[in-house]
Amino acid sequence: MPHAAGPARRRDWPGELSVPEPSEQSAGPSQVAGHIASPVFRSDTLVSTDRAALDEAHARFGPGLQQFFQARLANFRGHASHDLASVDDLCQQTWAECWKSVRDGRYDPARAALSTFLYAVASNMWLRHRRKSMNSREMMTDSEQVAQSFLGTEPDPARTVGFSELIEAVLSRVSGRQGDLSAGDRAVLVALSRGASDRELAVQLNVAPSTAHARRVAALSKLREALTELGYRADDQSAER
Amino acid sequence: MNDQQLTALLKLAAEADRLAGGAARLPAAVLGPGSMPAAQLGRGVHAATGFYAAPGVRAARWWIAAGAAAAAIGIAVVSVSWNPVLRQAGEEFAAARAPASSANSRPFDSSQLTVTPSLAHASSTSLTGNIMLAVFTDECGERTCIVTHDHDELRGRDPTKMSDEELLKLALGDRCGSAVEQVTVIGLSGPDGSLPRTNAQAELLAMCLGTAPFASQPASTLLSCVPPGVSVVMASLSLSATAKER
Repeated sequence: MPHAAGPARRRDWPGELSVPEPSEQSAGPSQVAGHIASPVFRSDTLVSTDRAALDEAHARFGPGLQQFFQARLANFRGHASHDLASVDDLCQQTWAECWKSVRDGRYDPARAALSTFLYAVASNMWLRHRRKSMNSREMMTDSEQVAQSFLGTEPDPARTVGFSELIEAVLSRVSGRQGDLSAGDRAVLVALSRGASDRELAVQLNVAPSTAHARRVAALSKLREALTELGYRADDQSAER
Repeated sequence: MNDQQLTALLKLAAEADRLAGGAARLPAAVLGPGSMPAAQLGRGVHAATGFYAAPGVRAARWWIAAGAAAAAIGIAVVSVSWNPVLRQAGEEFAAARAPASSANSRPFDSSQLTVTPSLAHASSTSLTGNIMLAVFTDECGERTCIVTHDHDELRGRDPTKMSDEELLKLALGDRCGSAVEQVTVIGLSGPDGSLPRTNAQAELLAMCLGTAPFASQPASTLLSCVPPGVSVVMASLSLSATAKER
């Protein structure tokens, strides 16, 4: 009797998902056999759940998603980043969840980039996986704790949408696309996003460590104000919007 | 939100940007002139990744990532479970190889690695091409032969859209070599110019992809073998259990 030569994997995702047939007036960039011909991804085309756009999104963000889960798994004892089966499962669950939200109209491309929304879904998926399969005594990182404070412990699509909008708000302000943070403040925030300490910040800015500390506090304060203006409060960490 | 939480939020945002492949949403110029190279920023700091990369690097990486990602869509490892159709095919195949089973332990001789038929006449009229490789391996995991089906032989059908059963049946129909323990089918579809056009190229690709259990290989290894824009699907069937039954 033939036997399985390896773990079962889905070979043509999202085949299991009910996706409408491609419309005649495909809004996606020109494609050749699923290959992306244009580097510009238009998330607004996704709302029509055009199959080509879904394929393009999958191609565009799939590797990043995989790296996200690999990095998460690598941080835990007994889990190897090359645990491809777990990475694959988490990726597929994330895509499925993401497309469900798109299909159900919960994702609004005007409020967050698709990649940011995908990230929020992935974060949620990771926290769920963590709660389910890992020792609860294993410490969560600061980032995971913050993510959980926004996403909660119960499945709630609305919180995922809210979290993606918060991340988008941070990205848009740090990038200077929105808000009025100065280039200096944004430089500090970018360095902090990389985990720079005050000393490293001082070297980067060519200032004394005390000055670097002051600039860090000031930049974070401005970001906090910007987020507060958007309805993200300090006490409950949730958006009032 | 306190400073610690805000910093964590910044890290999450940077991670989200990396997931997007460094989509140039945060300009590299944010760091400003005279700023410290990212590589010197210490623990947790990565040079030229995500939105920190220079525009030229970003553009190059976009294309590389897009190509690799397109291949990633198609790459999957398919395990064949109990299936009457495959069982029949497997038993037929096992019967064909059974007489030679005592000669399995010989060292791999590259001269025995054959690629048939020639791909030199691969279709050049279509923008998109399809190729299927069936790699036969012995019990030591050594390749014994590779059979190829070019675009014309596949009648223009995309192997990445064929069912696993179809792929394996097609492969088993053209079995070659002796003492074969496993067959791995590699279906490729993509721009015609990116697909292997000669026997040597097909052989190289098959060797790069390997025939060991794919789940044990890092995805990056598989992706590095596949030209940009090419979708790949793999299926494998082990015949050892079939042989034992007989």
